[in-house]
Amino acid sequence: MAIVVLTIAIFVLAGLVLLLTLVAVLIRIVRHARNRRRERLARAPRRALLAFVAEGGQEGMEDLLAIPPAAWQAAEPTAVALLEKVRGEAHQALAEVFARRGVTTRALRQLGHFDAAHRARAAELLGNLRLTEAVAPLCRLLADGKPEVRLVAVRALGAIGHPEAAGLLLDALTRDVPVHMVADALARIGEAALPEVHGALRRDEAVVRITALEALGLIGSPGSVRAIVELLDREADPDVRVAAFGALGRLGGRAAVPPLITAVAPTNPPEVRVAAARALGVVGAVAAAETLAGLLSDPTYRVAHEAAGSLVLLGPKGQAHLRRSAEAGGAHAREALALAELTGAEG
Amino acid sequence: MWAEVARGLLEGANYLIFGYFILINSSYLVLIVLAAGEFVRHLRGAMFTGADDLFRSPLSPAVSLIVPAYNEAAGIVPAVQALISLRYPRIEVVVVDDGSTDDTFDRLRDHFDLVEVPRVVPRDVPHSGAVESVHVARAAPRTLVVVRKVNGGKADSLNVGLNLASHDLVCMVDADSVLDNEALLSVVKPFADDPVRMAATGGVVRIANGCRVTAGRVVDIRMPREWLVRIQIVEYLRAFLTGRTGWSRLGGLVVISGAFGVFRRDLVVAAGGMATDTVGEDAELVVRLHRTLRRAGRDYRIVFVAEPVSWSEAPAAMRQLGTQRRRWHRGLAEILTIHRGMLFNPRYGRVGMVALPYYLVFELLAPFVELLAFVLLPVSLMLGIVNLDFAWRLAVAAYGYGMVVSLSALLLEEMSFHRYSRWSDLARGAVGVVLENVGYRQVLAYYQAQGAWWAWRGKKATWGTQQRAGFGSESEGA
Repeated sequence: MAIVVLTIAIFVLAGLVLLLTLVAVLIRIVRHARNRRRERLARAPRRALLAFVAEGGQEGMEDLLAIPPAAWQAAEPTAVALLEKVRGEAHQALAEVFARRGVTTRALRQLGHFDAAHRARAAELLGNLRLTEAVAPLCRLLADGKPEVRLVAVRALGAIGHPEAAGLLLDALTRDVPVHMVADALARIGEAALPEVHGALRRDEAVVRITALEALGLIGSPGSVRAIVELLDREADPDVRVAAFGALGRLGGRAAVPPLITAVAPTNPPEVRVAAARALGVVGAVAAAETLAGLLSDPTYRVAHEAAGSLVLLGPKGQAHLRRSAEAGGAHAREALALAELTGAEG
Repeated sequence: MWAEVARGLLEGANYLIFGYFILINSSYLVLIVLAAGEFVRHLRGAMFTGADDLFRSPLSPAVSLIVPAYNEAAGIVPAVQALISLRYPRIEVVVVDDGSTDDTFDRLRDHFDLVEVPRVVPRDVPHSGAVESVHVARAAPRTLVVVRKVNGGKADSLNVGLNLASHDLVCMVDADSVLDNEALLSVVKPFADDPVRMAATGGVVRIANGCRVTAGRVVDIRMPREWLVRIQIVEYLRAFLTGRTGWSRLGGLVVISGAFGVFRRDLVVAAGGMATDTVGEDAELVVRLHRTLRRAGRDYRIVFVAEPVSWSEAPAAMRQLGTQRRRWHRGLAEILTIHRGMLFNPRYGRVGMVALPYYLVFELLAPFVELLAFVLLPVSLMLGIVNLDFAWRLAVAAYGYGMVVSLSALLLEEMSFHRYSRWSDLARGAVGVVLENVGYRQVLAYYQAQGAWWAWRGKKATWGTQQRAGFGSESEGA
């Protein structure tokens, strides 16, 4: 009995080996044939697309509209890649080609597709098209059940850059959308997003306040410094405070300096002190040179390390402090000066 | 009567071993099926990964690449050059020369115009080999750091690298690895998508032998001339590419290759850095991260990224392969001993209840079972407990199932990434499937059993040296 079972098993396994080998060969044949066909079909449309873009979309639209559907399908990845790369009139003209070929309408329809990959792909395309009409349906995707779709929706809304999306982007943070993606999207919307972003500094959720601060740093509006300083007066969450110091570092301005000097005090958590020490250098707070010099012997490595780096950024006054510390045997000062010398040599 | 009992036991053992073969191969098949699902998801999502956005974003996480190097003069310069030119916005490369006795450091110094700097080395994690000097590239002092230290082993070097790493993410890379241009973007992407929970990501490691490497990038992928390496390519597809992807899907990934893995620096530091008392320090770190994060009640993820890849040189001679596999199995034995408290412990979730028990039963013990089969089957034949007809059928069925599994992995590669585009490579892969199961596995079992045995006996670990051809013109023609 056992021998019979084993014999049957051997035959089944031999069959499977043959079948799997055959499938591998067939897959390769089909893939090669498909790739060759695609390549052949896409060759002429690709040339037409490149010529169209090179002409800034002034000529050749009719040629692109006349491309047979199969050939367009083969060339569409090239068209989408171009859409990501070109700006201005060429982008508008290419977006018009997509619209007149019905691709845009199809993408809008596919935002409601049952398959997540279809929804995400459509969202990505609409973002690249920078289609304002897509803002509302894309905002709905911010609540999609699939995280990958939500992420693409955030990026697409950032690419479109319509202020209507700002508030909803901040709301999406409660659905596991990463801070940096929302901050990037808000930054791409730019100053038009500022009212929503400033409002977010008063929201209860720490993650929303952190994102708003990251976005403010990226948008780079100096008028935001006052709002951030006010936030620091009432903020207790160390993660939010770290983000606030990062934003102040990016925005700069004299008003940023006093809260940063307060934040490097040893009573604060190490991560807050590190962020504040770094920001003082980025801001170029010469008035803080004395404070930073006092941190060179701090027992927390990162605090001392950042303080030394910041003193380099403060120019002659900061570097004078470093030299004095180095002469007294300050290791962080010696390191910072050595690196500064090399960096100076770079410039 | 005793003879009857012995005969019964032998007969039972034969069936048990056969059952073990069925179970182990079935488990591989399950992992391949899980990996297939992941590959479909990965490939369908390739159109909207947002890698370009990550590259352009000023908020993308900065990464310190830590490269431990011991006598790597043959390929260290092109390797570092390639790492520096990876497509990633903010990186720092920290090369730790672990007391090389060749001219590894001299070559780096001459090529990158290194300058010694009085760098303060923090002691966030302990290391035993004293740091002798720290150097930076004159033209890019914040991008390339080279540390010279007293020899202390790979884990010790990684700890020095961890201490000197400036960025929040650290990527551990072998000095002989060649990374795809997009590799770092891909393994960091999960951190960007899920920055709060992501603790570590592992990238797939493939075999570079036979491939053409130009300017630190693999530009033409092909099977090498040596059958030993071809078999390893098939083995890597089954065990690493599909196996680890499957475990990642199950939430039980416990091995991230030291050749290419990204970790949150703060978590590694909090866990105590790399362990220096095991030769499997890469996997041990991952298991320890699971342990510490589970104990802390943290919601975290450790995932495997199947593409793009890191390419490594595989041993082309049996002796080197033996050294490598003894070390790997020794590492596994040590890890399972160190973390035995996690085994079958529900506190550690799928890692404690599924992954580690699996590694114990189907990885650590597998070579012993294989070798036992080699002894028991002939003995049973001689004693007439099984007849020849039964014995050969049993062996063919057991190894035939193994071939089906390896072939499934090869097919999955063909369906998904199809990196080997030549027909001849496909044919060589198919032959490699046969050779992997007949001959290779049995020899490997001997080395693996030896490695585990040495670990249990407490024999002192030695690294051995692998002759490297490097990735210059020598590999091009291979």
